[in-house]
Amino acid sequence: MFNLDIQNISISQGKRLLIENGNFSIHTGDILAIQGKNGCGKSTLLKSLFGTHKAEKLEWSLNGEKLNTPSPKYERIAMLPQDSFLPRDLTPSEIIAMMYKTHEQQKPLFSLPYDSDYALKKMSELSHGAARYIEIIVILNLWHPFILLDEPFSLLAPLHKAAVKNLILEKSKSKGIVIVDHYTEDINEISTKRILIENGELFHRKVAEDAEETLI
Amino acid sequence: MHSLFLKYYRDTFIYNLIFSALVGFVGNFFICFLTFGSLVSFVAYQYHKGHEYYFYYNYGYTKKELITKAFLFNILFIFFLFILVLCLTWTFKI
Repeated sequence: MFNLDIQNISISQGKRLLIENGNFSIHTGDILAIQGKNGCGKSTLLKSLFGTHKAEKLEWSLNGEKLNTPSPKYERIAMLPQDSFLPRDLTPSEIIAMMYKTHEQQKPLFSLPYDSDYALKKMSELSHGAARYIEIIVILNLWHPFILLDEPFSLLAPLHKAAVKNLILEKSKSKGIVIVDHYTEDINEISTKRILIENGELFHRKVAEDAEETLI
Repeated sequence: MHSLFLKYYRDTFIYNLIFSALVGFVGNFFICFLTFGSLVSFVAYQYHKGHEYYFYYNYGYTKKELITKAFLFNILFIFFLFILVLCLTWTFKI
């Protein structure tokens, strides 16, 4: 069981202050949805937690223990970025073999619903949706206790979307998952906590408040 | 050595090799490979494949660590290549 507490997070992009003194927490079992208009700082917030964007101010702790500046090297948080990130000259099979060393680790990845011969085609030969599907599967199966997903549902085919939702729900039993996406209906279906970013502030919302909303 | 790092090294190495081979005709391949060639390879990788850094980040590598290791491998490569060239020159008295 992991508890990640984020206190007084302030984030800027250039001279523009995106988020000021935000507070929230993520626990194992949470699926936290972060919503807001384009450019409000959703993706930048994820990057700041992952360590690829420097936050102006961030105090955070894991299970009550203060943490250093975020960095991927600590292997606490994995992140699915908005853009395609797996090497285009490799096949999903090669990527999985590189990232997961044992047969036991690789097994769940190959038993997921791949269509046709995805695993043997190079990433560059796959459609955007299929490539995105592979990326999400790779990220969700990593060993990190927290997973950040930036727009996981965009470009996905309905069949893949359903498979991804099931996988997120399954993985949330042992991980804390944060999702940023504009597909509000999909997010509402699986999220357990929600935060709305508006005018630089983080608003914690009850699940019922968003139930009737459509796209933001 | 982890295969993930070797993948990164291979990608930057190719940029470096092409640039240094071209510049090597008018200058020194060895010096170019360790200086401008290395710099160009990291800049070219960032430009063409910058988004792929997340592949390495998710495995715990940082950009600084990847670039530092790749540069150290470049030094090793040039060292062994230099020794090989010296041996060949001496053997065949070119």
